[in-house]
Amino acid sequence: MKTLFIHILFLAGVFSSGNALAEDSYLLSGFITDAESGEPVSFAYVHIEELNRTAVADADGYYEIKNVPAGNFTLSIHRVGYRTQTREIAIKESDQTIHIKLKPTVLGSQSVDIVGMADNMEGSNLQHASKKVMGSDLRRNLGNTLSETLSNLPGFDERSMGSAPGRPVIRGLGDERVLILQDGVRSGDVSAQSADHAVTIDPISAQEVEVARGPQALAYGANAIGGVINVVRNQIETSVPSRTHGSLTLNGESVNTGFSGAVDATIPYKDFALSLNVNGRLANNVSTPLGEIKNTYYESTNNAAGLSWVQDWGYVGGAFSSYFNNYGIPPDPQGHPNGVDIEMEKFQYDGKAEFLVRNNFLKVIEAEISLKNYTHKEIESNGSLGTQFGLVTTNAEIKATHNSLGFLDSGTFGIWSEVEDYAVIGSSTPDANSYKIGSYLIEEANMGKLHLESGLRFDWVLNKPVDNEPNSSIGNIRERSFPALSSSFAAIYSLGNGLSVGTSLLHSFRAPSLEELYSEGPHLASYSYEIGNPELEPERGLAKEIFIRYQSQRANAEAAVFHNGFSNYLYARDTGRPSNRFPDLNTYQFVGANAELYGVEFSAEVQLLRHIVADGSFSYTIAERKVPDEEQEATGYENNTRPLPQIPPMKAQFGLKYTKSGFELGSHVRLAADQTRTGEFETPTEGYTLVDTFAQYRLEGKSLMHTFSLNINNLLNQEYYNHLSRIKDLRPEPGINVSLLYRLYF
Amino acid sequence: MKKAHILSAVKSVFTFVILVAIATACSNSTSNDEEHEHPEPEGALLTLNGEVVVAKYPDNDNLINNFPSVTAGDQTGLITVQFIDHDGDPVEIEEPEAYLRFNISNSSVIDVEQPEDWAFLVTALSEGSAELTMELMHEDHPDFTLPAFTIEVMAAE
Repeated sequence: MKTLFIHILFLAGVFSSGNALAEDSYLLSGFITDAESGEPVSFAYVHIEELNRTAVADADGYYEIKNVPAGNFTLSIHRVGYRTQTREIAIKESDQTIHIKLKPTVLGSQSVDIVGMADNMEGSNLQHASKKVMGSDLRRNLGNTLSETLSNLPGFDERSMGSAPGRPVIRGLGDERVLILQDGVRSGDVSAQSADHAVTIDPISAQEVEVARGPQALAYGANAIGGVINVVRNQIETSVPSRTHGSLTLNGESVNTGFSGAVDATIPYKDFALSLNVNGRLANNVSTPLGEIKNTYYESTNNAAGLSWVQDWGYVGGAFSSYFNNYGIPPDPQGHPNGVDIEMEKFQYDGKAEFLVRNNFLKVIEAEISLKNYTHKEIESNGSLGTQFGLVTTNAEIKATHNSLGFLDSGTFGIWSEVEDYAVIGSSTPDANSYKIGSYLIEEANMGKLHLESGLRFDWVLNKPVDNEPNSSIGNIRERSFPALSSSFAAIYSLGNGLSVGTSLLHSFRAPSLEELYSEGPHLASYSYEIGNPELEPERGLAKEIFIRYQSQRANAEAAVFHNGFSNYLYARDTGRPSNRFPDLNTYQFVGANAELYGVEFSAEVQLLRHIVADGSFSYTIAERKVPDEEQEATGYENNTRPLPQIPPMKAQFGLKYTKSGFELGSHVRLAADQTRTGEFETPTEGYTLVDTFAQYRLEGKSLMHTFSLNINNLLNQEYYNHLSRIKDLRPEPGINVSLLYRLYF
Repeated sequence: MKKAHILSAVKSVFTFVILVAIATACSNSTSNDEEHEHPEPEGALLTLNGEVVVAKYPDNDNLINNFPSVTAGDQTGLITVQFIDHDGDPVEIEEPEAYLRFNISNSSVIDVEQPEDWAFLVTALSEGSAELTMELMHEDHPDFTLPAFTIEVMAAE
C-alpha cells in the first residue's frame, strides 16, 4: 500500500507541474493505394512512431489519425504483401493529407521501403538495431509461447521445460538479461528466474513483436544486454479509430491436439476507444517420435479490457487484464515420477496518459503506472503444495520526448521506478522487497549519412528482506543497495546503394535479484534446491557489435559479429550435489563469474525469380567463464576457462517459398550442430536436421480479410533434442506437428 | 481544452484505476512469515531397539541403511524418528501442523503403522524388498525428505 502511494505522489507531482499543453493538434489523413494497380489497400496499419499513434485503413484505403501535434515525425505503414514503408513527415500547424503508395513485395516483413531514398538510405531511416515480427511472418511462426514464436529468428533460441514454459534466449543470453515487455511494461512474473516458469504474455494476441538492442533498450532497463522484447497489443489505445476493427484467430495443432482462439477488437465511441482482447488455449500431452510426454498439458487464458479518452491534448486511459495458466511439468524419475502441476495467475492494472506539449523544447510527455499481482503454485501429484511464489510489482514512469536541439534531432528522457513485493512458501527464502529507481536520457542525431544514438541511465536498487537473518545458513541475509551508471552508443553509416555498416556498444548493469541473494529451499518444478548468496555483487557487462546491412527491392541481408564480456556473470551453478533436506533435488548455488559470450549471426532473403524467394540464416555463440585458481585446485579442473551451461549450438536455416497473389507455399530446413561445449554436470546434445513446410493464403474483401496458414513442422518426425531444454536428457522435442491457423481481420 | 479539465479527467481515471487496484491487487497472498520460525532439519536418525538403523547426516550425501531384515508376517518394534539440524544436533518438531508421510514402493511387501507422532512400525507382508521414503510434512508441503531406503522381507518358515 505504501509503495502505491509513493507512486501516486510521483505521478501527481508531474501532472501538477504540467503546463503549456497543446491546444492545437491536427488531422493526418489520406488514401493508401497499390503502387502498381492503383487499387485501394485496406487493412494497412499506419503508425506515427514517435507518438505511437495508429490507424487502420478502411475498405477504401482511407486512414486518419486525429490529434497530431505540429512537428516532424516518422510515419510507417505495414501491410501484409507490401513492403513496409517509412517516411519522414512534417505536420505544420494545419491538417495534413498524405497519400501513400505501397509497393507489392514477395519478401517478408523485414522488407522496408524508405520513401524517396530507397537506394540510398540515410539518417534516421536507418534506425537502430531493432527487429519487428508481424504479418505473415508472425502467423507462420506463431507458437504456443512467445519464445517459440521468435525461435526461428537468427540468434534466438528457446529455454524450455515441457510445452508451456518457454523463455527467449538471445545470442546465448537469457533470464534477466532479456527483458520481456507488453506494450512497453514489464511482465511482472518470475519467468526470468527458472525454466519451469512461464512468461505471462500470450503471443496469440500480439499485433507485432519488437526486439530492441543498444541505446533504445536503456529506456526499459540497464540489464537488457541480450535485448528487449516488446509484445504490442495496444491494450490502451492511443487514438480513436474511425470504425470498429480487430481480428478473430482460430488455431489447431496435431502434436498435442491443441486448440486456441482469440478475439481482439477496438471499438470507437465519440472520443473514447474501447479495446477488448479475449483468448484461450487448451492442449493435451505432446507427442514425440518416442511417444507421448506425460504431463505436458496446458490450459491458459489471457484477457484484457482497456478504455482510453483521446483529446486534442493527448489521451488518458486504463486497462485491466488477467492471465491464468495451468500446466504440467514432465516427470523426473529421480523424484517426481508423475511430474508437477503448476497453477499460475496474474492480475494487471495499467494507467497511461500522454500530453502533447506546445513547447519549443518538448514534444510529448507520457506517464504510466502499472500494478501486477502474480501468484503461482507448484503442486505435487499427490495434491500437496511444493512451492508457491507471489510477486506484486508496481511500476511508474514519466518520460518526455523533445524536439531537435542543436545537433540533436530528437531524444527521450524519463524517470522510472519499480517496487517488488516477493514471497515464497515452501522454502526458507525470506519475504523480501526490491525498490528500484532509474532515470535515462537517449539522444539521436543525423549527420548526413551518419546516424548516431547514445544513451545514459542511472539506476539505484535496494533489495531488502523483511527480516534480517545474520546467522542464516546461506550467510548474512541483510539489505543491499546497488547504484550504477549504464551507457550505450550506436552509429550507423550509409555506404550507398542500400548498404550500411554500424556498431553498437552497451555497458550494462544488473543488480543481483532477490532470488539470487536470498533463496534457500526446494524448487519443486525445476527439480532443484536453490541456494542464494547474500554477498553477490552486481553483474556488469560490455556488449560490442559490428554489423553490415543490405536492402534493395529484391534482397535483404544482415551480418553481425558480437562480443559480450561480463565482469560478474550471475547464474545458478549446478553443484552436482543432492540437497540434504531434499535428496532428490540437486543444489544450485548462485555465483558470479567472469565470462564472455561471442559469436556471429547472418540472415538474408533474396527474390530469385518473380514469385520465388529464398532465405537463410546462421548463428553461432561461444560462451565460457573464467575458472579461478582456487576452483581449479579444489575440483581438479585444469583449464582456465570452462563453457557456460545452457548455450545454444551452431544453427542454420534455409528456406524457399513460392508466392503469388496472396498465396505462399514453401519449406524450411533447420539444422543444429552437436553441442559439446557443456557446463558442469551438463550433457552434450546431438545435432539435428528438421524439415518444415507451410502454405498461406490471403483472401481479401472490402471489409474483411481472411488468412489461412497451414504449417507442418518436423515433417520427417525426427527425434531431436533442444540443448536449452531442462528435460532434454529425458525427453525429445515434439514430433511432426500439423497446425492450421485462421485469422479474420475486420 | 482548459488545463483544469485535463487535470480533472486525469484525476477521475487514475482515481478509478487506483481504487480498483487498492481494493484487489495490492496484497501479496503468498507470505512466508510463518515459515521463519519452524525448524528445518537437514538429517534424520531412525532408531530401533536402541540402535540407529537408518541415518542421514547433513555432512554426508549418502544414506546409511542398516535396517534389519524382517520375516513375512512379523512386525518390527517401534522405530523412533529423530531429526537433526545442520550441525547434527537434535531438532524437536513441535508444530501441530507437522506430521510424517510415508511412501512405499511396493505395498504388497510392507506396510507402515504410526502409533505415535514421531515413531512408526513396519509390518512385513510378503517376501521381497520395498523402498520406504519418509517426509516431514508441514501442512501441505514437505520440509524434509529422507532418501528412500530398502527393507528386505524374508519368507516365513
